Amino acid sequence: MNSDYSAVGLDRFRLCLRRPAMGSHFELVVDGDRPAAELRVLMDEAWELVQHLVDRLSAHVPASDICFINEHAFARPVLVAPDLFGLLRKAAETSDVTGGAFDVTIGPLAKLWGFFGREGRVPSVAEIDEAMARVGMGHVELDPAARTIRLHRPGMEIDLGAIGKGFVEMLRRSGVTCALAQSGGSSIFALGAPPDGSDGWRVGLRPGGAATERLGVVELRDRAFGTSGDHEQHFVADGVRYGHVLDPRSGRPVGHRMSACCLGDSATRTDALSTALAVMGPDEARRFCVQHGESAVVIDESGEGAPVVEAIRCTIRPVAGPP
Amino acid sequence: MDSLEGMGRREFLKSVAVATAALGLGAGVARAQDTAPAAGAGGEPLKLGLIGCGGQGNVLLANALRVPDIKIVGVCDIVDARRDETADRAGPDTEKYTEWAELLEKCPVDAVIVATPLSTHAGITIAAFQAGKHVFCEKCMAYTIDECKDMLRAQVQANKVLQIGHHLRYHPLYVHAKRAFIEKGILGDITSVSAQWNRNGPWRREAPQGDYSKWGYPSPEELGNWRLYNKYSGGLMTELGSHQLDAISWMLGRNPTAVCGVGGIDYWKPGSGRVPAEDQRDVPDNVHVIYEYPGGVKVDYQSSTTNAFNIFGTQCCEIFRGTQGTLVMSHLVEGTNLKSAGWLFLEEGVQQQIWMTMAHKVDVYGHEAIHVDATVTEGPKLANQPISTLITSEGDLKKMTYQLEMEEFLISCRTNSIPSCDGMIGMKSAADALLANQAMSTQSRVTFDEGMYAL
Repeated sequence: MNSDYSAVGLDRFRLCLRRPAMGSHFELVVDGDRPAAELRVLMDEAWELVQHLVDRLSAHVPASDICFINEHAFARPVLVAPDLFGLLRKAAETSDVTGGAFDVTIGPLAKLWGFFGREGRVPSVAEIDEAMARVGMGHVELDPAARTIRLHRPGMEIDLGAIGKGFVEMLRRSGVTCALAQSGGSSIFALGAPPDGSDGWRVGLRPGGAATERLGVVELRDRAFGTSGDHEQHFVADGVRYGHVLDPRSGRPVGHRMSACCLGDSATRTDALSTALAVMGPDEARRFCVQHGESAVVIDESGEGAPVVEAIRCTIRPVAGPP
Repeated sequence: MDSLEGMGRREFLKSVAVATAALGLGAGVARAQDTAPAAGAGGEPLKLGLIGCGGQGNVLLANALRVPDIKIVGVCDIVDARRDETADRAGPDTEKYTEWAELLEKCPVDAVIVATPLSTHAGITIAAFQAGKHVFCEKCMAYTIDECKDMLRAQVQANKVLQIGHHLRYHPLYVHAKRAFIEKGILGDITSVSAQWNRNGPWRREAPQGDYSKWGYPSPEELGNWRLYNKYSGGLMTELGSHQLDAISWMLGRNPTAVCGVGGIDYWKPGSGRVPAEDQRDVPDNVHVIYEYPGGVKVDYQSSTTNAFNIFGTQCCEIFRGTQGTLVMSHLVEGTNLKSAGWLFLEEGVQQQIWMTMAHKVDVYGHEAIHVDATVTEGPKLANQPISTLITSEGDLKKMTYQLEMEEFLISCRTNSIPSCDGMIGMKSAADALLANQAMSTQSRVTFDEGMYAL
C-alpha cells in the first residue's frame, strides 16, 4: 500500500523537501503561516534533526548507536542515550503487547531469508532454528536504573527500521505548526491541518502490487499514520510466493497478503503497531485492535477479487480530486 | 620530513615529551582497549569532564561514551537545560556544574573537553592546565595566535596533554587518501587545491531562554548565535574553514606562506528582513580566500551561505589537482554510510596502475572516477600494515572520527604522550583561519612568518 498527499491550498506559501534517509526517503511539506525565510530555517532544522537521528538509529550506518550496540552489547552492558533507551523500551513493550508479532531483533531472520539484500532464498529448517536462537526481545535486557542494554545471545541484532521511522514526529520539536512529514512511505505524521480549511491532511490508501487506484482517503490532523504490508517485495521459489513480511514467532514469511495502517498520537507507536498487525493477519489484527482500542485500517488482499478494506475505529472517506 | 615537523615543533615537543620518552611510548602506539595503564593510573578509567554542552560537546560526549576506559564524571554549561540534558545522556551520577572553574576545582576529573565558544577556549584551557588536567580543546584552537601561545606555555608548565579537535586527521578515508594517493605520488605534482563548504541558510541556531549577561553575553541571541559575532568567533573561517584548511595542510605536508581574500555580509544582512530583528551579526556570510603554499601550490577556499550546490553532491569538499590526476574528498556526503567519499580522476593519457583496473569506479558525467575506499582500493594492506596507529582493523574504519580522537586522547593522557593533533598543529591551523580573516578585513595579502609561532 502506498500513501500520498493531496495538493491543497496552493495559494499559500508551501515548501517541500525530499531527501534520502534510512534506506528510503524522508519528505516534508510545510505550509506557510510565516515568512519564507523563517519557514526555510525551520525546515532545515527539521532536516538536521532527521539526519542526526538517522545517523544514530539506522542499522545501515556503520557508526550508528544501533551498530555500536549490536557490536558490543553481548560482551558488556552498553550505556544508551535517554531518547534511544525510550525507543528500545517502547519496542520491548510493543513486542510484549503483540505477543511477539513485533520484534526489533528480527535481523538474523531477515538476512537468512535474503530480505536484507533483497535476494530471497528458502533456508533449511536447521538454519531457521539457528537464526531463531538469536531472535527475541526475551534475550534483550534493558536496565532502566543504569540505562544500559545487554544482548544475551551472541550475534543478536537490533534493527529499528520498523519503529525508527517514527522519528517523523520529531517535527513537533522543530517549531513548525502546519506540516506533513513522511518517512519511507510507511510512517506519516501530520501537524495541524492544511490552511485551506479542510479537516486534516488527506492521505490516500492504495492496495499493494501494481495497482495505482486509491481505495479511499483518511484525514489526519495532529495524528500519526503508520503502514506496513506485503507490498510488491517478494520472491518465488518452487512455485511458492514468499512475501517480505516475516513472522518473528515462526521464523517464516506470513501466509497471508494484507496491508495494515495504524492511526494514533505517536508515529513511533503506529509504525511499530502497523508492522505487528501485518504480521498477525486480518483476523488476529482485527481482534487485537478491538481488544486494545486501536484505530486501524486493514486491507485484506488474500482473495482473488478486489481488496477487502475494513476501518476499525476510524473513517475512510471517498477519493475526491486528482490522484 | 615535512615542514610540520620543522625545528620549532620538534624543540617544543622535546620539552613536553620527557615522560613519554622515559616510558618508551609514542602517541597512539597502543590501542585504547589494550593500553596498559600508566604508572599511578591503577587501571582506573580516565575521568573526563565536559565543558560546553552544545552540539559539538554532545557529539564528543557520545563518542567518548563508546570508549570503555573513559568515564564522564562531570558536565558544565551556563544553560541549565542544556547541561541537565547532557548530564542525563552521560549517565547516572554525572555531576553538573554551571561554572567551569568549579568543575575544575571540585569534580574529580583527570581531563576535560573544552567545547565552548571560540573566545573562551584559551581561558578555560589555561585554567585547566593550572589545575593539573589534560585538555581536549575543540577546534579552532583559540581566538588569537597569542592565545594559542599562552595555552601552549601553560601546557608546558603543567606537563599535560593538549589535543585539538581537527577530526579529519583521524578520518580513515582521509588518512588513507593521504598515504595511498598523495604521498605515493598518484596525483603527480600537486599545484592547486580548491575547497568549499557552501550552505544555503542563515547559519542560525535557536537561542536559549534566560539571562547570561554575567558571563559576558548581553543577550541570549549572542550566546545562542555566538558564531555570528566577531567578539566570540572568527566566523566561517574558524568554524568551517579551519577544518578543511587543517586537512589540506596536513595532506600536502606543508603550511601556507601567505593569504589574501574577500568577504562580506552580502545576503543575511541585519535589518534585511531575511533574518530576525535580533540578528545583528557582524561576521561575513560569504568568504573567498586564496592561500599560497611552498612549492607554488595555490589553495582557494570558499564558504558561502546562499547556495549549497556542488557537482559532487555535497556541500563540502576538497579538490586536489595534480599533474597526473585529481582527488576529490568530502566528509559530508549525504546517503553514504560514513557520510564521506573520495574520487580519483586520472588526467588524459595517464596509464592506470594494475590495481586501478580492478578498483570500483563511478561515472561522473563521462569521466571515470576511481572510488577511494580504504577497504577495497590498493594501499597499505590492513592486515600487514595498519593505515595508522589508530586504524588497525577493518572495524576501525567504521568508527566515527570523533571516537578515534577520543581513543587517542585516552592513550595520550595515560602515557602523557603527544597526540597526532597537538597544540602546535592546532596553532598553525588556527593561524590559517585567523590570518585569512585579517587579510579580508584589511583587504591585503598577509604573510605567515615561522617566527610568529615562537613561544
